Amino acid sequence: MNKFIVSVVIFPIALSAGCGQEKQTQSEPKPVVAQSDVVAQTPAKKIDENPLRNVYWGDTHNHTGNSFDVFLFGTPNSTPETAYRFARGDKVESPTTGKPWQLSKPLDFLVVADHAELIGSIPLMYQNTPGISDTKTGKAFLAIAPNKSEENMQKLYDILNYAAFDQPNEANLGAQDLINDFGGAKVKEAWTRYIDTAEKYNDPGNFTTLIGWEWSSNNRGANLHRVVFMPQGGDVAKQFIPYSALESDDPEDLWDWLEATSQETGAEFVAIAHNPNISLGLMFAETRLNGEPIDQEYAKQRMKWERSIEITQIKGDSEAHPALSPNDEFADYEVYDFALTPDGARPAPTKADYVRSGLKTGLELEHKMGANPYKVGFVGSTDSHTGMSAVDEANFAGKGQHDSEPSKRAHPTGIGSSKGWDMGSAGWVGVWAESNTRQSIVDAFQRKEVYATTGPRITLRVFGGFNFTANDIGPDMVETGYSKGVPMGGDLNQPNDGSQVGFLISVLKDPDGANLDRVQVIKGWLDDEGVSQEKIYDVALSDGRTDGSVKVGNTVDVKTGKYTNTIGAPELTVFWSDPDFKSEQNAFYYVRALEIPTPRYSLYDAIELGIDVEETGHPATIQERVYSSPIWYNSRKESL
Amino acid sequence: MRQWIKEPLLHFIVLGAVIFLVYSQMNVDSDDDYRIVIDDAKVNHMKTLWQLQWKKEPTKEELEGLLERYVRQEIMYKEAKKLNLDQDDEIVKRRLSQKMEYLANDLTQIVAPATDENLKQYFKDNYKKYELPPSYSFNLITISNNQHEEPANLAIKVLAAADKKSKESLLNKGDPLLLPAQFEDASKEQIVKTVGTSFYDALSGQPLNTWVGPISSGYGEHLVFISDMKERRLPDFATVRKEIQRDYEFDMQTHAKGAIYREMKKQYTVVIDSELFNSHQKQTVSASLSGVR
Repeated sequence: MNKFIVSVVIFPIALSAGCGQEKQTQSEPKPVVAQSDVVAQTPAKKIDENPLRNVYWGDTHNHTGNSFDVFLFGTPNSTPETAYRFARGDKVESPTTGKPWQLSKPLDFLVVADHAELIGSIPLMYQNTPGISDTKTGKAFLAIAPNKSEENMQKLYDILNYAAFDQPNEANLGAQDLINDFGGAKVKEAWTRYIDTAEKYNDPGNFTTLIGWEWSSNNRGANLHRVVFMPQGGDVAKQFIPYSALESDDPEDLWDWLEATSQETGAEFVAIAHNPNISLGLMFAETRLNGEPIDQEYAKQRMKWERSIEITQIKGDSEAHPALSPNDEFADYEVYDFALTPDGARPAPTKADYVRSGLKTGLELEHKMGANPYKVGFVGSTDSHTGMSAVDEANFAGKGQHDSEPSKRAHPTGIGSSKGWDMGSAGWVGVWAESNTRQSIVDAFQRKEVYATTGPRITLRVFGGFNFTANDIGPDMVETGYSKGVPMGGDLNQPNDGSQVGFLISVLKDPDGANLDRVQVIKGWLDDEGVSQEKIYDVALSDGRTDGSVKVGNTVDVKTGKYTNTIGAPELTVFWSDPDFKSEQNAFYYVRALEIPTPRYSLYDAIELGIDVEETGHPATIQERVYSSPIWYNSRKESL
Repeated sequence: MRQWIKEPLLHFIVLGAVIFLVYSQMNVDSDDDYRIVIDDAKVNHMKTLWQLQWKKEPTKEELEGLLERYVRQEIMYKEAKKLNLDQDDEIVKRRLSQKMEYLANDLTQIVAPATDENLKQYFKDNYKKYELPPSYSFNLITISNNQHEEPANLAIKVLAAADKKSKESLLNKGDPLLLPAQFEDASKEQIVKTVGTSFYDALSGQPLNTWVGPISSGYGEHLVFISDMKERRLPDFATVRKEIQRDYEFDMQTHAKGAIYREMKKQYTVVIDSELFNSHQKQTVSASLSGVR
């Protein structure tokens, strides 16, 4: 192998003379070796910069065939290259269906975040690669699944989910076997190739690729996965092999590794957890994974690395659950509770499984021990396992191979006990950044000046402060917002003059999408007994309504899947001050803006398949939404 | 264009000879079949792999273990070759054919390198991919769907009452919306992202330096004063070179793999010598195997 690489490098030099002869017919011979520097002569393109920041749309969580499960689910043709080409707006051949596929509007950035566990190893195993196929793991797998039938792929997937965490499994393998046989240095080739592709497609000012991966801890079947990415380029990324859950499934070990690697290489990591809804009570728990109570040290470390949570994605929405927030009529949205345990369980929700209750737990923990471990901003992303980041309801590529086409979606996906139509067509992240560059985008994640959408590209701006008035709504709102307050994701500390907290909120619909129904502020606070509470305020309603209990209506024709923008508002902008503000109570505030009802993708499927939409088991219409990152009010007069 | 593809096999053969030469140059030591040389390069390679996996330098014992494992593998390998154990071994065959596939990839970079000349030709052949759609500098005001029953009628009235040739006459009129009121040399992408696809399409063919409208968007009706417009145009080669190179290499690799395989296959005859097929099946199987995919 070593020699092989060397010889390939030598070629261009050794051959430049030989090739010239044959090329004479087409052109005069050129020195073949000189080309690689030509790029440097390219004049620098102007990169737009806006000090008041633009919104950039992206997906921080996209998988390709380098992920063991993408390969095992039958999409081996999915590559990072196709993922980038698709996200930046090119028409590509879909790796799942082979049909041409394109986004209606390009994205601005993409993180291809393949599972670090066994990156690229399964494809190599089926190519009978020495050092992989002939190991204990390779032999066991090939014996159980000699070919790549769908059934075999599912078997391997199930075994891996057990073996990786040292649980009993058909192949009698453990995590150490996987590391020795498929992991460690053996993922280096796939990692290096991935980095090169990311570098090639990074185009500052137009389309940004961020290098990253997914740490996929499935502690006893609980989804504790984290996507990790960084603004630095290949020179830094090639200095390490991504940390995988085979090394440890405890997030605290991941943070230690991030700390050490960051100091060693200068990488600046952002880690984002996802799917608290299937974390089996562990994502926003009151104890550490080892059972000890959460302390200040834990809170500080977690808030250093994990400043955002993926609140919405294809495997469901984790903002709130109707059982936990019974007074929230909009909480019953894309609920997904299919645990990754192989028994097909659908466990009841706990307050550690949803973001709103998690933020409340954070306030309580801060009261008890002095630091808040759950002060997170909100991100939406797809978690697509096809390389296609396509989550418009009318242009949904599915979670994976098993639900890539309408005709397949009545059937099990192999992910928990879910069926195709249980997947939701969501989400993306809006990022308020000065420019579309790696550093500027990552800085926005660090500030939490980011927000989640379930699909529509709704422009959402929120500022909190003590000196805003209704007069600040207007053309200078953004400048005023930054100069007199903080944007979404920020902190407000108790002012000395006893003034009240207020918010400037502006919501513009997706210009190509549906109108808006309403804007809500969701407040969580700690009462005088140290118990957290929540309340929802309708702060702006469309169509002149003054009472939020009056519904906006529904224009969707379930026969054709068409809707009209004859109801709702194209934009809702408002100044709101909290009528229940108490300066001694810690609180968080975030904005939720809802669209008018529009067809769920499953309605379009039902129309295409000629079946009753009831058969999909899901509502014909949904109210898509955006969630701003919260602003926290701290009753202390200065921050930590 | 792509004339080189006509002779990829020739390139391949020449390359093969060079690979052979390079290898034999590198393997002078192996003339002695009973000699295993561990040089700096070998040791460093092992150390690097170890470090990547375990995030530390191997200890003396660990390094000795690695070397012992290496030596063992080399001896077994050499002995196995003497016994011709590599013949007809499925794993060896697949690995070697995989190496050939990689070679085909690398070959592309050699016979169809991303030189300025090749890229310029590719640019010429595929210019449509790189064309920049029209960009506009304009001001807009909005009559919001939100605040008016018949925004289009109102927009027509406002326009009729205004001095159309004066940009100032309507500036800051309309409903306040958190939508930019002014765009400077804005690309299609920027306009579509902010005001929507149908609005951008409607800008085409509008006269310059006069208020026009109403033009609809998702937000309402707009009156627009376009002060400058750049027609659909090709960017400078230099500014899009990186993009062209990316697309060129993607296309070349995809094409070359197929082309080289087709060329090599031409030299082979596939004979079906099996009783498991009847004569008709033999024909169809044979035809499908000989067909060039």
